[in-house]
Amino acid sequence: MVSTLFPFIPRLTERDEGPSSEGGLDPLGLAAIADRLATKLVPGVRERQRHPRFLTAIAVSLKICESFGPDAFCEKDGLSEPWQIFEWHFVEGMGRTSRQNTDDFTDFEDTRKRPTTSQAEGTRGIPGSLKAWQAWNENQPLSAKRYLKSPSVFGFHGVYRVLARALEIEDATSGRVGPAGEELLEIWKDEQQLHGFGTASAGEGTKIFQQLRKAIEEGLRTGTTIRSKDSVVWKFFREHLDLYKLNATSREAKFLVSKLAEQTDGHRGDVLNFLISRQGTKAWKQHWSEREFHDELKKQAGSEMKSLLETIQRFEEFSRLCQNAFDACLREMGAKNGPKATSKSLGEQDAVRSAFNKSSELFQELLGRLEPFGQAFVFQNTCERLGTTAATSAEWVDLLLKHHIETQKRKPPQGKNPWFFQMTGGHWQLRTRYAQRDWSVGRDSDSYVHAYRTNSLWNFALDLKAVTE
Amino acid sequence: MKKDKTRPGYARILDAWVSPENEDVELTPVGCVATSYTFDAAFFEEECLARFAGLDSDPVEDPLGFLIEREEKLQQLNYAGVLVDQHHAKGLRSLRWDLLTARPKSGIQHAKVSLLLWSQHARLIVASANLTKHGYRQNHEVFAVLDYYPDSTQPISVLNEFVGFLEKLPSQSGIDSTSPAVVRWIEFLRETRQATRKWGVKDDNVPKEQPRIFPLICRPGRSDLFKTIREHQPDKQSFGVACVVSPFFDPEDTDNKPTNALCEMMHPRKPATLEFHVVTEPLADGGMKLMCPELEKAIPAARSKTVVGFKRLMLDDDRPLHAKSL
Repeated sequence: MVSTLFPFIPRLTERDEGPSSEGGLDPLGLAAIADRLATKLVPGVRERQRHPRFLTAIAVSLKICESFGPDAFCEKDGLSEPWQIFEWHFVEGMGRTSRQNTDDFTDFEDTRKRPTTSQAEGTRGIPGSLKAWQAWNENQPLSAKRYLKSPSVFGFHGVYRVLARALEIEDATSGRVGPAGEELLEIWKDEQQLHGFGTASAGEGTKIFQQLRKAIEEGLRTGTTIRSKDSVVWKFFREHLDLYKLNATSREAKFLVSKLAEQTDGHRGDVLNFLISRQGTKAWKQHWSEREFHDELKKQAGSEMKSLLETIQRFEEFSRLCQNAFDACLREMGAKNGPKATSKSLGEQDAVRSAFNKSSELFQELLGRLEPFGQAFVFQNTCERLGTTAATSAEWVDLLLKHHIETQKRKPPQGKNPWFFQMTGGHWQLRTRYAQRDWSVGRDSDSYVHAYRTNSLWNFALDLKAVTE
Repeated sequence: MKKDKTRPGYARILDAWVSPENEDVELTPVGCVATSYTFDAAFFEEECLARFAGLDSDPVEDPLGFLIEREEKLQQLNYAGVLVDQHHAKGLRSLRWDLLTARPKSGIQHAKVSLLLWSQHARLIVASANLTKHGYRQNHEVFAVLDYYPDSTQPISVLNEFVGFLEKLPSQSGIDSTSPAVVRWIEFLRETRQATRKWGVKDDNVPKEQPRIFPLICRPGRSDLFKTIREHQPDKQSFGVACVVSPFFDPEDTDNKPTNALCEMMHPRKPATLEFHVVTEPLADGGMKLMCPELEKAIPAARSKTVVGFKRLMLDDDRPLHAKSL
């Protein structure tokens, strides 16, 4: 007798959560050490940061939001704090003021709508702007549901807050405007003709401050941005906080450059000052290569920074060797498309041979170099296999591939699947989803595997007109 | 064990790829064909085919065991193939299953039909869902399953018509009929016809308490959906009520042919209702916005007795509507 779950009447589909078992980035687990070295070199700056005027936006946001008290949140969604509601208005305001033609959309079957290039230009660099486009397109206000899933990480407050704190634009302890933030606000108000903004004194800024405050107050009540199409709030962001409209003579730009170039802990000031110097700009623009930029920077550097730069360069040399060997293995597994990629055949790849010859010695050297920066222990624990002396390149490739499997297992929350498996006969088989990638991209390159913030600082310098393109 | 939270009237499409239970015989998977518009090859192989082939190992808990078992069991299938529209048939090719690319001269390959054959059982799955993770796991979709086996009371004519549709599909989709992949596709369908010829019942023998089932297959150059419905309608009477569920509608400023055609099927002189079940969005003032154009404008003047009604679909917030039904 047959029993079936499906009587012939049509059914609606139930939600069907699949397991999250893939970890598609950082297959060799070297990124965490690189990130810590980058933070030592350029504190506060993250790779996703591009536009320093978000620092002014954060100062404005803090000034408005601190009047609500530290415990205010939206009761309707039980989640959103005043700064979040400010961010919705900022993103929506930039979207509204860049929109030109409401019919100019590409319509996809799944109803996703995207802005055209000219429209996107007006919101370029603003995290969450695509969400604003979608909400606008459906004639809906932004809200927690319609905005980014992890706004405290991926929204502009999330991306730039660490820098705002490092520069004391935000006071890390109280979460209020910090001393540098107050100074920045004074300059901004003066230049923008917004006297009285956030103070008891009367002026052009008093009215807009109250309107922005009222918009956030309303957002705390409704859980959305305000609905008025003609509100001056929307224009405020474009007119006073446009990311691309700082000019070289602006005191706000000069202040931001001076704060970024200030020498505190780390070497952010040294790196930025060199980057905007004629020699540094030339070194960077010649190849857009951090490796070559660091070569030049080292010539100017004091002993501490020089030691850090040399460590970064050796760490990247090691990372590149391993990454090229790993990519060569994936190419070979993909090309064989069957049970033929053995440790022996993988060990014969040029990139693997090169890594086999150099990695062990480099590993030992790096243990010493990473010690002063507190990374030797982590490196020893996570990358030991890669530094093990092997008798043959086939043996070393086994260690490399097993290192990847272990790295994937360690990834949170419960480990991730490896990109390939070793089969019973000893051969290596690439998993279906990774067979679709092109492993030739960046083939056998000698560039850094990881990024060390030069790109972010360069974009800062461009926005602040400290350099030209 | 994970608690089954399936609601009445709901099911998971992936469960339909799992072998049915038969107390009398052990069912072994023989082969399958499927069609889709959009397509995710890894999802098809790791989720659909894995279930169909009856894998026991868990891809998360025992990924290596899963891979080995999958290789072994897929090798044992007589055939597995999927036919996908040209715009989405990119990427992976496999030694274990065929990927056929539909390049129809007009229109697109939009059918989502899967035909699964076990040793004593055939299953037809007709769905609104594409063979992708979104289609199968996330969207709100609709699907129907027809099971055929020796004592089944399903009309065999429906299975035969779908097998005929699938047989012609490669050539109608501009695929070279002499290519080895098409030869294998056709051979598997011939095998299915042969295996199922004594299963199910003839139309006249369908139990009276069972709803009647007809395939409505549309393609360019063939009768449209509404004419096909009319052909199968036993009494040819006009409808008093028609209900439509769809996430997509023609834009307001175009001639809405589907709505016009539907109106033609409504009673011309008596009051009739055309009911659209649509997604809504809440407005800040507490009101609701219907996510469809002003469909009442599409009603021809001659159908003044037909009124348009709207009903709000209550859906899970994070699951887009992709189901279509009439």
